[in-house]
Amino acid sequence: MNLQAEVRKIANHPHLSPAQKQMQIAQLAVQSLGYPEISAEAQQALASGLICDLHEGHAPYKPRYVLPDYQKALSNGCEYLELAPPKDLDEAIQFLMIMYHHVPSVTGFPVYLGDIDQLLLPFITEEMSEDYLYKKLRLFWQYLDRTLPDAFMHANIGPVNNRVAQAILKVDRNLQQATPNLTFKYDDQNSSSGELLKDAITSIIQCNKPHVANHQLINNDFPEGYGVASCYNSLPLGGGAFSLVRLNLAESFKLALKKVPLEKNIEEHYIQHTIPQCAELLFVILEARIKYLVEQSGFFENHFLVKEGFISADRFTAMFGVFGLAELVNSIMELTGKGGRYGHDKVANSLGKRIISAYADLIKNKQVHYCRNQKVLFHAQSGISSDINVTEGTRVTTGEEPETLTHILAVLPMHQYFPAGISDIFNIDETIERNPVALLELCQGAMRQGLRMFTANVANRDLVRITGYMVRRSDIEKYKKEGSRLNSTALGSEAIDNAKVIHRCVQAL
Amino acid sequence: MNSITGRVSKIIPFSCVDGPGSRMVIFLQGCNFDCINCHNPHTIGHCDHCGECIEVCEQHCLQLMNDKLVYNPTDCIQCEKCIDRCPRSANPTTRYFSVDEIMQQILKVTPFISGITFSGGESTLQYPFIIDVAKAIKNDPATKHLSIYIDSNGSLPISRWELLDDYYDKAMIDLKAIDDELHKKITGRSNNRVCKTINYLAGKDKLYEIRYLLIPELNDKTTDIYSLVDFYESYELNVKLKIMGFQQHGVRLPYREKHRAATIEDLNYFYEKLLRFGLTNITLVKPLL
Repeated sequence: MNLQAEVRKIANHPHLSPAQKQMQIAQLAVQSLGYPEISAEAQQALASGLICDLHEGHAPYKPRYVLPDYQKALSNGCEYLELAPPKDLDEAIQFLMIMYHHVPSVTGFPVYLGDIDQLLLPFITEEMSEDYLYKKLRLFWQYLDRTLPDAFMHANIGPVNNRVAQAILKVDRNLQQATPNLTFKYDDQNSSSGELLKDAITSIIQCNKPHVANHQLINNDFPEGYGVASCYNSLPLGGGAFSLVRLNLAESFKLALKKVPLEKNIEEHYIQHTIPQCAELLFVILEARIKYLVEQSGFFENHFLVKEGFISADRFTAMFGVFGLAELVNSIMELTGKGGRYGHDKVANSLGKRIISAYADLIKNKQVHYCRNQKVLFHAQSGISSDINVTEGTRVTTGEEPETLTHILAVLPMHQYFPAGISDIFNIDETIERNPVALLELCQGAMRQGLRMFTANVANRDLVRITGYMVRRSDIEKYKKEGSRLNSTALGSEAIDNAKVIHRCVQAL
Repeated sequence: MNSITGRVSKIIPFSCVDGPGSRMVIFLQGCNFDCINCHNPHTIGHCDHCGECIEVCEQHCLQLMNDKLVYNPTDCIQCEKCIDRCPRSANPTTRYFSVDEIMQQILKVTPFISGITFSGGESTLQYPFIIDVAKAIKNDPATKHLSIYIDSNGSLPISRWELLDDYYDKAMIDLKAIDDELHKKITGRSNNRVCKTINYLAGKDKLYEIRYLLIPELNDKTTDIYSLVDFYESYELNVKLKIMGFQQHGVRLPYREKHRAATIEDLNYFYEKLLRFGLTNITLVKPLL
C-alpha cells in the first residue's frame, strides 16, 4: 500500500478516535523518511525481522522512555509551565497532572509517573482523614486513566510503608482500571516494606496489580535512583532510555543454521559466531538512532525538561532487548537430538542461561557514545502485540508454563543478567484468595533468591496482563465491536489473538 | 542412609490449599477409604502391573520390565492419560522416594515455603516414612524451621498417632459424616476411628481443622447438623470446622453424575444452622465462581 492509501485507511477507520488517528498518521509520516545511516547488513537485519526497532520511527526526535525527576520539579517549580512550587496536596496533584502532559515518550504519553507516594507524602498532614486522602487519590487515578489512556503509563510506590501508598493500593484495586500500570518497590531488608507488601498482595489477588520489584537488587544498579517505566523497564531517574532495539533470538537461530558446517556443532557455533554477529548488528542500529536523536533532533538542546534540569542527557542509557529465547533453545535442542524444552528440561534451561550470559558479557564490554557510563543495558523485552509464535523475552512459552514454583525456579537464574528489566508472569490459581499468606511467602522467597521482578497472573480476573501492561477482559470484547478509548486495548486485543495470552496455564490443584 | 521409601503419587512444590501459608505437598499413594466424593481417585489404589496404561502414553514413559511397570519421568508431560486408563484407581506415575530423595526435593523449594504437608491417598498409612522424613527435616539446619502438617482421613489407630506425635505440627482431618451408616455409605468404612482420632488430636492441641465436605441431599440434612453440633459438644471441641462443598471435578463415575455440586445456598444454609445451634469456630469455603 502506498503512503496516501495507508493514511486514507487510518483517516476513515470506523473505530479509532481522532487523536488515535492523528498519532498513527504521524507515525506513517516519520516511517516514510529514510533510516538513520546504518550498514547494508544492519538494514537487512531490520528488513528480515532479525532485529526490530519497535516502531520508534525513522527520525528519532524524542527519547523512547523519559523518567523526569518530579521531586526536583515539585521543589523548584517549573518555569516553562509557569508553575510555582506547590504548597499543599491539591496543588501538588495539579502540578503533576499538568506536567504529565508534557513528558514525551515513544507512545506520546508519559511512561513514568514518578514514585507517587514519595512525591505526595510531604503534602500530607495529620488532619487529613483516610476518606479525604482516598477521595483525592481516587479522583487523581480516574483523571490519569481518562486523560492519558495508555497502560504503558507506569506509577511506582514504596519501598517503605506509608499512608499514600496504602491509599493508592486501595484505590487501584477498587477502581480496577487498566491504567496506570503500577509497580511496588519492595525492599526485603526493610520490615516496613514487608508490611506494605501484605497490602500489595491483597491488590494482586483482586486485580493482578501491582508488579513487585526487587528494590535491593535494582537499586544497586542505579546509584542515582531508578524508576520502573512502561513494561518492566528499570531505568535511571532523571534520565531514561534513548532507544530500545530488540533482537529476535528465534530468527537468530536461522542465521546460525545457514552458516554452521555441521549441525551437531550448532551450540558452539551459535555462542562463538552468531552472538557477536547479532550483537554487532544491533549496536550499529542503536548507535545510529542515538546519534540522530542527540545530534540532529535538537531534543537535548531545547526541551524544557533538560533546560530546567529535570532530566539530563548523561542519565540516558539505551536498551539492548532480546526476545524469543524459548524458541531458540528449543530449536537447538531439537537439532541436536536432545529434545528437552525450555522451562522444563535442565539441559535446555542451562543452555538458555549460557546464551544469555554470553550476550550479557558482550553488552557489558561495549562502549556506546552518549550513553550513561558509555554503556547500554540488557533488557528481556516482553513482546509486542504483533509477535506471532515468538515467546516474550526469556519467558517460558505461554501455555507451556510449569507449575508455579517450578516455573519460578526455572527462570530465576536469568534475572541476574537484565539490569534494564526482565519479566515472567507467574500463574496463580484463584484459590489463592483463601490463603494470601501463601502468595506473600512465595513472593518474598523469590525476592530473596534474586528474582528481579515478580508478576502474578491470578486466574479469572477481569484485568489481564498482556506483555507487562493490563487490559480488561471485558474491554477486549467491546473493542472488537466498537473501538476503545484506551490505545493499549487495541494492542491487547491483537496480543490475545496472536499469543493466546488468555490460555496461560494454571495447574489445577 | 535411610532404607525406608515412600510410595509417592505426586509432589506439588507450591500449594495454597493444603494448610496455612505456602506449602509443598507430598501426596502419598494408597488409601484405605473408598470415598464416593474423592476428587483424587487415582491416589486410592496400588498398581498391579497389568500394563494397560502403557499404550495410552504418547510420550512412551511407561514400560513393563520383568513384569513390573516402570515409569520414566524424563519425557512425561503430565497429561495423565495413564491415570484415566488405570482400571484400579491407581497411578502409574507413582514413584518410590527414599528419604534423601525427598529431602533433595524439599531443599530445592525451602526458600519459598513455610512448611510441608503430607497428603494422599491416606498419608498416615505410610507413617514410618513420614516419621523419617520429619526427622531429616528437623535435623537439617536449612529446613528445620518448616512446619509439618498431615492431611488425613483420621483412620489411623491412636497407638500409631502416638508414635507420630513428635514428628508433625498439626493435622487436618476429614470428617465425612457423624452417622456411622452414612459414613459407611460415603467412605466404605466406619467412622469409629475417625471420631477417636479427632478427640485424641484435639486433646493434644494437634488438630488444625476438621473438614466437612457437604454433599447435597446426602450429609446435609437437619439431622446431620444436629449430630455435628452434638459431636462438637460431647467432645468439647473448639477446633475450626471447615465446611466445603462437593464439586464434581475429578470425581469418578457414577458418583460424579449421581451427586450434584454444592451451591453457595446449600453451604450458607448449613453454615447458618450450625451457627444458630451454637457452633462458633466455622469457616465456610465458598465455591469459586
